[in-house]
Amino acid sequence: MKQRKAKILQYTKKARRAQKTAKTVLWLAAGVTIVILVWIIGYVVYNGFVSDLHREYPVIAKGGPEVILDWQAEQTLVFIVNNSVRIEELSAQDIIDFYCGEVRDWVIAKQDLKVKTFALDMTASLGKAFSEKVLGKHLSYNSNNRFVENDEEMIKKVAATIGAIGFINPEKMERARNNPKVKIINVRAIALVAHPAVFEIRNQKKLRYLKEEDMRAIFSGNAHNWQEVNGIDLHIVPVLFNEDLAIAKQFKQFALGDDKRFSLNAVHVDNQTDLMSVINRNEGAVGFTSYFYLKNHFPDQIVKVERREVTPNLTLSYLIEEPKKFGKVGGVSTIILNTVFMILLTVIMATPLGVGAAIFFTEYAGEGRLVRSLRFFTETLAGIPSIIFGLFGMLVFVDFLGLKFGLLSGTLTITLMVLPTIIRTAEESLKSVPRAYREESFALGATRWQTVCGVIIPTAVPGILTGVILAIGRAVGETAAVILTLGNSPTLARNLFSSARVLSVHLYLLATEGISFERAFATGTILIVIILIVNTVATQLIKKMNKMHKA
Amino acid sequence: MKKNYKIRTEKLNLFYGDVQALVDINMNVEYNRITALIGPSGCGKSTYLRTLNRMNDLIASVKIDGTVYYDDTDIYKDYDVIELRKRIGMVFQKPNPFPMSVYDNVAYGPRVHGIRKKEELDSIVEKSIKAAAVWDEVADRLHQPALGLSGGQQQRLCIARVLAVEPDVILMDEPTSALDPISTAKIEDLLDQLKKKYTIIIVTHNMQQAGRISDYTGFFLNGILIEMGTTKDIFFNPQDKRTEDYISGRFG
Repeated sequence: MKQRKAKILQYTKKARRAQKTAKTVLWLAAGVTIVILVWIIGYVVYNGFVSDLHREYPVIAKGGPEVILDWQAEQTLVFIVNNSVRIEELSAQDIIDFYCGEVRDWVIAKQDLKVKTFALDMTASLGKAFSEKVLGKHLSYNSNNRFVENDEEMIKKVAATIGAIGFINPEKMERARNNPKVKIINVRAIALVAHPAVFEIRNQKKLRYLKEEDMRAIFSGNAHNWQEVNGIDLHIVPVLFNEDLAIAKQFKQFALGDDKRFSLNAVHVDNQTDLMSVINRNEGAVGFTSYFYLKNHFPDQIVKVERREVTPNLTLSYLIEEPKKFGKVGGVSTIILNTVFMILLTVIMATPLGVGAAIFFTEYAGEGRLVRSLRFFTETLAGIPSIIFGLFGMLVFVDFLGLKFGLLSGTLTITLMVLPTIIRTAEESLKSVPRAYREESFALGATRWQTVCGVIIPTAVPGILTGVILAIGRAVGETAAVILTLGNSPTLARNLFSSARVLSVHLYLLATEGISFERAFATGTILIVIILIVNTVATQLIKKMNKMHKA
Repeated sequence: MKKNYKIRTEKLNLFYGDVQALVDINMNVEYNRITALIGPSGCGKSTYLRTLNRMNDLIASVKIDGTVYYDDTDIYKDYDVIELRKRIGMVFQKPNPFPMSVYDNVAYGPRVHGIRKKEELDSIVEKSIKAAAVWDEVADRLHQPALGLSGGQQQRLCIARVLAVEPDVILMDEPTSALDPISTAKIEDLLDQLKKKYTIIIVTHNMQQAGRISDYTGFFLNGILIEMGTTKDIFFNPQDKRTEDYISGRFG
């Protein structure tokens, strides 16, 4: 008797242990899944709202309104743009690109806007200096550039022209500041220059760019060898303009910050010629001067600097503007609407069809061989890759039936694709309606159809709705089948036969064609939000309907 | 003299596939009386009850042989099944209100029979709920979920739902077996009132209940109607040895 009791006790202990282990394992499984999911969604949404980029520029990371054209402070100017341009700062290279016509649109501001350049003509000393120092010998003004005679006229013209950019003498800055249609922008115009040896490849290593903090370390004397800043084994020799020169002051302010001091073991020079000769005599020498000068005389010796750019990504303008230039600029408003059209059409077509079929299978068909094979067939359809539906849709709807690449072909294809899902879930929820409800209804003299409409469907609606949500999720996320049938015109669909790009396709194109990953993330975030909205609305609906189910 | 009965069955045989569940049942059911069917589990009393409003039609494997007369009309030949079920209502073992409001539950029957006017429905619902003796308990929650009622209230609501289609026979398949004694007592009281207007056939497992409420009793065993008579006779003067054994609790 005692033995038996001990045995039972032992067994109980064992069972308890097993229970504990099982609990831990299950807890881990659940935890890992949740962490991964949160990570994915968090990653996409974070990148959707915040664009956090590391970009390399041939100029340093900051700049002010007053731009030094050469090394001396005599020739400085201030750039102004029309208020329509959503930009606060530019790099010196952007200025060159605009004025010589290399870049004709405000893509950098993510706007579909032509750049209109204004320059002071050669009679003004600043106009002459600009032409000589900025464009140099090899470049010339773009054909659309317009010349103005003086600063007053410049401000007036820039204020009146959408997408305009111009420059003025710094003395007239106040005038520009007082004009509400014009804004003064910061220009990053100082660049780093180094001895050619710094760029050599040694031991399979090469300096590609400097990080901002590395640049600071070099000029404040905290770094002594290029190896410390991801370069090759070479002693660093900083070469500095005398600190009373304006360019040195600007560099100190923008590159080092005001409180930082220059390196004590630097070589000091007081003009451009000396600077370049010192740099070119010393391996490992590095200095700074005007980008315009370097671009024209020593373009191969410019050291690139990496800048971290944290800006809001998904903004209101992205939601309400039309896409332009393959999505490079503008927003996604038409694409969102196209997606909504596609969802609505799919739901309108797929729900009655799918629910109807499910009702037939569960309520009318019985369990014959035909029904069994039909059911097997729908289940197989659910597992077929969507691209095959796309192929079918393209050949049959688009081509054979002549519906063209458009909303109708696309939604018909998606409908075929999601039907199995809707049928399956609807069938399950219809089957889960208690048999007793049917009997009670029949016993009250209702026909089968009255029973289906009056009792079974209302009871099964939450489950059916779940299927519809799943279907919407699939439809919204579908890319392959949609590209083949719906087309990818980014304009708003005007009728059932017009090609329309939807969010998933837009995202695919943005990412695969390397247009912009930030925009791809922003689009992904919108997709997630749409799914979230659909889910929330449906859950609320289900909750409302479930009120009658609750005891 | 041939007497008029509400329901008569003649030589009723029923098969589930190859298994015979009812054998040659001849039974007469009197107007406005409560007839109780008793017998051990699986004896065929529920199956018999379900043949009376053709609920067995829903089961594909069932074959029926013989005749069932309702008001001297053969229900398997000369009656539309919808019309029949409207005349012969049924209350099931477990209360099963639909997942709708109390009101919609009771109005369901009239609605499927084409009554749409709100005032008409209102009066039918009120009348039926009152007749099922549950009005006092649900009057202020007509538009709340019926599934929120207690078991006893739900069962009386189901009775109200049957009454709302204005049948004249009510079949009850162990209507109190899922209920507590107090709810059971209420339903039994209700049956006593209902028999003034309706003919009631009730299947019960509870012999005291049969004794308390019924006027006639039929005893089933293995698909055979062993004995049928007034409740008094069956309980105090059974003709068949098997009836006596069952009544006195020797098996079952």
